[in-house]
Amino acid sequence: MASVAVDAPKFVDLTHHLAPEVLVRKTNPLKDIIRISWENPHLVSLANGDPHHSLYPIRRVEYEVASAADEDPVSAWRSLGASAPTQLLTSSRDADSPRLHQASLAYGHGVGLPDALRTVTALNNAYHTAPHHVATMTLGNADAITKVFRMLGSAGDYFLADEFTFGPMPIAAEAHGIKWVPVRIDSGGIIPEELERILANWDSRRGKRPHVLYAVPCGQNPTGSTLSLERRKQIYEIAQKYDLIIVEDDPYYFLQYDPPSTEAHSTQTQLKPFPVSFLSLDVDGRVIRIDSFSKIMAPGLRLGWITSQPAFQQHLVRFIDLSSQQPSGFPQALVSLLLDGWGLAGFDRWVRSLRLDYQRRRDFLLGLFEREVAPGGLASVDVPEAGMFLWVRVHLERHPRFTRKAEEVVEGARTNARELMQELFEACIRGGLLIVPATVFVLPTETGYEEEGSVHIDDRSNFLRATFAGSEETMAAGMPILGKVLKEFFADPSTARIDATSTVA
Amino acid sequence: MSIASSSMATPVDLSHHFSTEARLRQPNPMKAIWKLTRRKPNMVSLANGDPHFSLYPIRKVEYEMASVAEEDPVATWRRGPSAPSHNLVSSTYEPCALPLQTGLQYSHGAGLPDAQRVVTDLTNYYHATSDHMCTLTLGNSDGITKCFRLLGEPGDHFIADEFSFSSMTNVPLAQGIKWVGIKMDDGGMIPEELERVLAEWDLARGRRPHVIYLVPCGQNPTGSTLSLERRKRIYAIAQRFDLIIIEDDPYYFLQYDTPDHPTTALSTPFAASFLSLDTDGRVMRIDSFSKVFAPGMRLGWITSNALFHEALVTYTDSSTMHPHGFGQMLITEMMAPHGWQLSGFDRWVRSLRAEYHRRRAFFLDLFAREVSQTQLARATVPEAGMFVWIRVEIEKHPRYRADRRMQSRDVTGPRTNVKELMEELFERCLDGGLVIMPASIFALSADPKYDDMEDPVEDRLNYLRATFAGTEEAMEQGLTILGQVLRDFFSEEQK
Repeated sequence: MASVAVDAPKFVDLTHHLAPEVLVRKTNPLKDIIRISWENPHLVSLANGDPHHSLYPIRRVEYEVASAADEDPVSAWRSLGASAPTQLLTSSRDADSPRLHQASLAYGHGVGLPDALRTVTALNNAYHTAPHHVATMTLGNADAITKVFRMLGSAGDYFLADEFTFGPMPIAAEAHGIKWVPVRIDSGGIIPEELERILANWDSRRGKRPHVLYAVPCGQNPTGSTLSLERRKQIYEIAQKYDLIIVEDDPYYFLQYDPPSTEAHSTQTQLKPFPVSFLSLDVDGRVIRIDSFSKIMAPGLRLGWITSQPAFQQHLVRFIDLSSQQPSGFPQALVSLLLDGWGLAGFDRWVRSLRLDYQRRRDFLLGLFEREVAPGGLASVDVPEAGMFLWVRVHLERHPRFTRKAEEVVEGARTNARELMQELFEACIRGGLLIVPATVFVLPTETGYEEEGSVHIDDRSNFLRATFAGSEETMAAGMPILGKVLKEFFADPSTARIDATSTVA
Repeated sequence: MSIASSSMATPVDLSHHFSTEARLRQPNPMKAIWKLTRRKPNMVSLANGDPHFSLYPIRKVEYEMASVAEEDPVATWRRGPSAPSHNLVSSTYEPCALPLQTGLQYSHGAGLPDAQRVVTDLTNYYHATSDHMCTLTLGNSDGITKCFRLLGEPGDHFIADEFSFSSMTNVPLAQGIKWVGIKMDDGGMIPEELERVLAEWDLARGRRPHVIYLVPCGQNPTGSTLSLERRKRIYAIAQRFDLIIIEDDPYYFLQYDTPDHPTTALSTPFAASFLSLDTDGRVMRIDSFSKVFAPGMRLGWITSNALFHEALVTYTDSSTMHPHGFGQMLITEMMAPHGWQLSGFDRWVRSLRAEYHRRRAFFLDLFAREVSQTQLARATVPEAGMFVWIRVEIEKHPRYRADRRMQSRDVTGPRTNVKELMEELFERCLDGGLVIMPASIFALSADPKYDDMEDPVEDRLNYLRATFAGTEEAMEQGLTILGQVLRDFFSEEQK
């Protein structure tokens, strides 16, 4: 990390956000003594029980990776297959400088391998403006987010998230007593006014006011929405006003697309720039940004990083030293070798090229949707600006068995949308298509605190999530099935349409 | 192996050991969806947003490993760059046991099936399992930490050796779990002491302990190894008092003969583990590749009953996720017909054992020359592991006092000033240029309200832990410094 400038801004002290568990956590006492060794290399150490590197049975690891020399390296890599040009990256004990090899295979410090940290810091500096934040290596986004949730949440705390969100993360937090408050979204993501309203109107009898916002600002999962710069600034101001921590989960940051009407031969230089992250807006140090190599390299790397203010990092590292420890040396060595081998320019070419590839896939799936599904008028889709998913709206109100309860009924769902979607999901499976219904993504929340006059989440769950991350064959096979299943589902001849004004018993 | 494979005839229901958190934990809904892919033979899935493998910028990983063709492969390997090697490859285009496109995907919380099979085969080869299942981990720290979260409730007391590996015992403190330390002797935890503590447990203190954490071979820090007799007695106590045994066994393969033997015979059998005695399914055995391959692998596994395995998988799927592909690919290729195979792995670990046996001998010889002859410290010979537990004869120090209780009038406080003297000794070692681990960082503190304070651990902190895992140079220099520091420290005039 570049040394801190003389006039470095003081980050706000946010330690009051930390769970009691964090504050009582003692350090790993052996690491304290080992640190004495590291900091004083002239001392003879009989302290650490580290196997000597001459006993590692691994002398060399060689990775054969894509070349990033081409303007559009992803295309070249995919189209040329086995004959695509490659680069060899080597980590070796017997090399001129075995340091990386040995360091990657030894026990290390919870913050991560210095080479890997240098790599991700360089990436942070290239794509964001956060010179005073620091990076900590993680095992990927799920690991990072669940650790951060544990560090910020005491049992009974309330956290905020999109009302449709990536289920596993909130569910993980529920196991240790965290409750969720949904924020209304539209096609542009979190509605800032809604966020503010929840915080301004918070009833303190319910519990402590929410102090953490979990956001996926680009290509939100599942809705595909991306927050505009304007909204990001508004949300950041709200976070400052109400003292929120923003957990910025951004796995699709690099997968940003143009509208499909853009010329088919758009080149790298014509692509719009990557958005300004919450991290780049973070003057207070209240953003904890979560990055991962999973979507831009491979999920099996199990490697990512957290960027935060230094005070938070201290607690995080202490937690890591007393749990999962730093990530494996293999992927850490790989990403550091990769950035050396490709250079920042090569990395940039790779991710921009990847973006184009996903954009082509998006357009392919959209094209299929237009042909196979849209003409029936039974479903529609907004064009996602980022990410890997289409959020398909099913026009349930056209279903013969769609029912709406009478106005007098105030509690719970007013329609049978949830049941119908479950039927549709099962019909898809019977038809040989697996697609994810919106119900999987509904943020788990307490009942009884819905806003007056609001439409219940179940009544707004008439969506399916379909991915364009798979192969073209899969997409070409899947869309016709969806079209067919929808037609049959809506043609449902089993019952006549129930009168809309009758009260359901 | 001397223990016959036993079957859990009447599986014991151990679900009551789960923490509230474990009970509340819902499975990852995306995994449930992922399982539906197998519902129909040609299911088209637009469900999971997994990057297609054609977009992984990696085509091949080659690991140049030690050759294990010879009887003593570690000795051969230590020759350096000229030692013969064996290449293992995982690739997209070339034939291999676990292709890259599978190895680098998202997968199941337990790990890739091929990698799971590898660790299951290893476990079955060295231990007698019955209905146990293996779950991959990111190493022992990760595995044990997860076990603590699955089993421990705030306010719980867990049991461990009085001197324990504090990197692990510090972990659950933040969760509100406390430790009860059990006295040890040269043979490790004293079973009668364990039984006494459990039988006399005062419920006012909280729920009776239901989890015991043990390092049965080459215990860290004392280097003791539990005899088969003691293991059976401890297992019987665990059955009687319904304990879960967390068997942390990173030094399992580093078990030595007595120092009289010039080297451990490569064919000496390994001791029976708690897992091998586990008829009830109450053992969670923690294994790791860290000491036999390299710590940076960050790969290990837990062997447990099926119920605990499921809970571990659910938890893994909601936290760290499965381990990295590279390590899983490496061990899969290693065990494949073109790799080391199990026989090669066995030669490697036996050879490693011989190597550490030699290092232990080197250390003990040096110790005798540089330290024992001062008569100010003596070493216990470890039967396993990487450490020597050195007893400092602190009673001989000019400033040693045994009348602290009379001075302080605290009937539960320390009787001596051993703690302060050892802190000074640690600093003197640093000043002399030596870093060595003092006993104090491994000691579990007692609870004066409930524990037997006749013999407080503070009075027994006169030990140092030194490793023979480092270089011969470090051992030579280090032990010379230690001898000198001891002489200086003990020779000072009474102040």
